[in-house]
Amino acid sequence: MASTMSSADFDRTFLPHLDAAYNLARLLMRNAEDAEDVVQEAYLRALRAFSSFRGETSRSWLLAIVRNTSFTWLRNNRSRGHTEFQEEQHVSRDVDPETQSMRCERTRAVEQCVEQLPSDFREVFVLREMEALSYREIAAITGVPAGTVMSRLARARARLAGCLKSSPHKNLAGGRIGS
Amino acid sequence: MTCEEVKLLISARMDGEINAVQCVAIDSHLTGCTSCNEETEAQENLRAVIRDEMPYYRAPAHMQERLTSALRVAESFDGRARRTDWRVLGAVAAALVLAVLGAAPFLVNEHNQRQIVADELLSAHVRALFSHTMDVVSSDQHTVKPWFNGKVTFSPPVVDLSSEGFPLEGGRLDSVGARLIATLVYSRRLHRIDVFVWPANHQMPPPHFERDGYNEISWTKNDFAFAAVSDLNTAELNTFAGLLKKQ
Repeated sequence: MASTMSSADFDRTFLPHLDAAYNLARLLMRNAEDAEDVVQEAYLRALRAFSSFRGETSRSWLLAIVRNTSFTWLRNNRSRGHTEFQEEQHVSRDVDPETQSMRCERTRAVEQCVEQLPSDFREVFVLREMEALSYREIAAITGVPAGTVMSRLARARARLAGCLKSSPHKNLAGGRIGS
Repeated sequence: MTCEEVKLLISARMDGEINAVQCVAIDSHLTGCTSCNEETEAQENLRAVIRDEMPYYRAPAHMQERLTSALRVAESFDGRARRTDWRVLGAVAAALVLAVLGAAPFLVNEHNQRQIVADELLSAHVRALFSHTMDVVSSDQHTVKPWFNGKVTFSPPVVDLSSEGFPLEGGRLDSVGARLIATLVYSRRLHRIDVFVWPANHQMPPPHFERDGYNEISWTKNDFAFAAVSDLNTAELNTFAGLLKKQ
């Protein structure tokens, strides 16, 4: 299989997952520059390991490498540290400036709470809520049993609810905001 | 089922990750338990808020281009490494044939080995440029030198050449062949210079080597082998090597 794989195959298989790779790295590293470097290193590792890729779900396969690369960086203290919220990087869904600014504040509160989660909770949370992966897929990526994925998610959600309750945007935790 | 058990499973139920038996058990518990009902509602609200508010970070626009060019460079280096392997095998095969014929094959082999070492050092330099690898970041020779203790089996000589315009930036470990070697990182304006240091009893690269716009100068001194690799021009790299040789 390996010998017939070309760079075009590699690009076609993995470049569509660039956003997913970046989003995961960005939330694990909590820093945009580190996220870029980690993603690049992860893709280079994926390229070297491409011969062992057997056509599993390519997104999960890549995200597992991104996740491992992120933790290697964090362990080796190669992280540049946590950067503050950068508004211009966020995807805006509204045009009305007043709604936009309120939304930014709420988004900031939610994001800060997610970033405060311990990294092993944060990763299962991102993989579930943002990538909609199943517990089994998340278990394969993170290397823990599905039961652990379940309890980590439950605890991550409980922590998030607590964090949002104590944020200035109390209504975030209480009920859905009409917008 | 106790409330504690139910509360743990509420989040899994939202994800559609519980089996039919658990589902029935939870539903029957919920009909009579206000607190668990509230918990279910709170969790569903939380999920809605997260879905609405949590930003999805998309890769910056320049990222794909940067990434594909890094991938192509990596591929061409891997391709080069494979070709090098064939050259080694070819040289070994040729050496065997010549040995059988009673000729002295060592010169051919020696030349190839030196090229391969030079090639590997250059690849290590380029890899580090791409991944921004530096294991110890310091311009202080008294920080960089002890850092190598316990990481390699020798203590490389480390000097700072800031006053000559080649400041010490730090160091890292590299593996060349199966050996761990010490790498000192210097800079010259925007150029980076890697100085690889290892005990001189191993194979040396040729004194001068050039490939793809990179220069490599190698020498031995006091039982250490040195190789300086950079995209800096040959004249300045020679000056730099001269300064190190004088130390």
